[in-house]
Amino acid sequence: MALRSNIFIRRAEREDLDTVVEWMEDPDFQLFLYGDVTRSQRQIREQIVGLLGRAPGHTMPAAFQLILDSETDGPVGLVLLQNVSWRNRACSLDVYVGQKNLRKGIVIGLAFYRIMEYCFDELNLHRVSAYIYSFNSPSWRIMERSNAKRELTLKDHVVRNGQLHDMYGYGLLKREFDELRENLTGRMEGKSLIEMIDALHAKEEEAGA
Amino acid sequence: MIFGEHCVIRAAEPDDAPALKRVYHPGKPRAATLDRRREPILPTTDELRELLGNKDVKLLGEYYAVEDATGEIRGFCCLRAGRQDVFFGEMLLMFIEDADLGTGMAGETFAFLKHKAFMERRLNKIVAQCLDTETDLRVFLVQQGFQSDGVAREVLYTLGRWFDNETLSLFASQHEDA
Repeated sequence: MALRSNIFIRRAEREDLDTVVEWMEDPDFQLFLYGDVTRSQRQIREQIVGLLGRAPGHTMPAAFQLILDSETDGPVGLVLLQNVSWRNRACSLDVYVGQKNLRKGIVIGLAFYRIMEYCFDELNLHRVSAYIYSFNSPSWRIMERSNAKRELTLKDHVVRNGQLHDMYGYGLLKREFDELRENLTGRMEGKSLIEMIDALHAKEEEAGA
Repeated sequence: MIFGEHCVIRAAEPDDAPALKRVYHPGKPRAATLDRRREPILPTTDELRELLGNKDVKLLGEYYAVEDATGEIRGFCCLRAGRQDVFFGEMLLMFIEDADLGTGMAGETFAFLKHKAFMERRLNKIVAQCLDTETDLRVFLVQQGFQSDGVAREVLYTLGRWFDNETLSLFASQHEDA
């Protein structure tokens, strides 16, 4: 049975700023991603403003900001590919899903699959890393289902709500993602990144006609 | 300035830049000299001079020079522990010659960093990194009580091959002096 989702990935635009700031005010954003208590909301906002829509197409950026968008629900999440090393062909990944009901579902699994396709097939990366707190089990389960390996267990590494928590370091190599792709042959029919792009172009042309 | 039996440890100064440059050897990658993207950097002496005089860098973690009995700089060390919401520090231990890791100098340098981390900063743990080729450093860390947190695979490409990067930790509670 083919998997279905209407989520697509696009570059973040300046128009996304209000949505992104709204997500940043969600306590979960601080809990799961950027919990540096020394940074003010203003500092985070300035950083996001600086990031959105800055990199011109001809440069080799050190980070990519992508939006998980949906035809029915609008923007649902933020994808940050950071510390991109063109030499090591590697990057680190942060994903935030604003809609709580989508966090554990197959929808995000498919979106994650497309992000990995973008990393390995378009950016020609060799490795994607992700650091995930141990209490964020939906996120690390997606990594494990994607064939990523839990390479690091950093014990008592981060403080949240006054308690020390472990942090896991995951690594997904291109050859491991290719293995997953082989195993999913058939199920991902019509849902790959390139098919998503084709469908979006077709819709834009239809709208313009 | 710390006067040990085997070495003298003092805050590094801009004039120590030529010695620090020897640590950044292009044919000998070290985890401690990679940037946050795990890329090897080859700074100029001027850049290192600037680094050693930079107040912001000192706030994050000051560099210390390790001199032998003759006054020659044998290496550098640093404890990075800048942010307030973390309770660990990252230790950089960089001897120009790996053989020095087997001497009393390395032991005294580590004792200095350990005291700084656990007694002065009251940190929960010290984290250290080493590439798969840094076997002398790994042996030294394990001898000091560090335990492996795991290995990130194929993180660095240089000298025509991939390098793995291991993270090791030492907790304050594990240590007798803490």
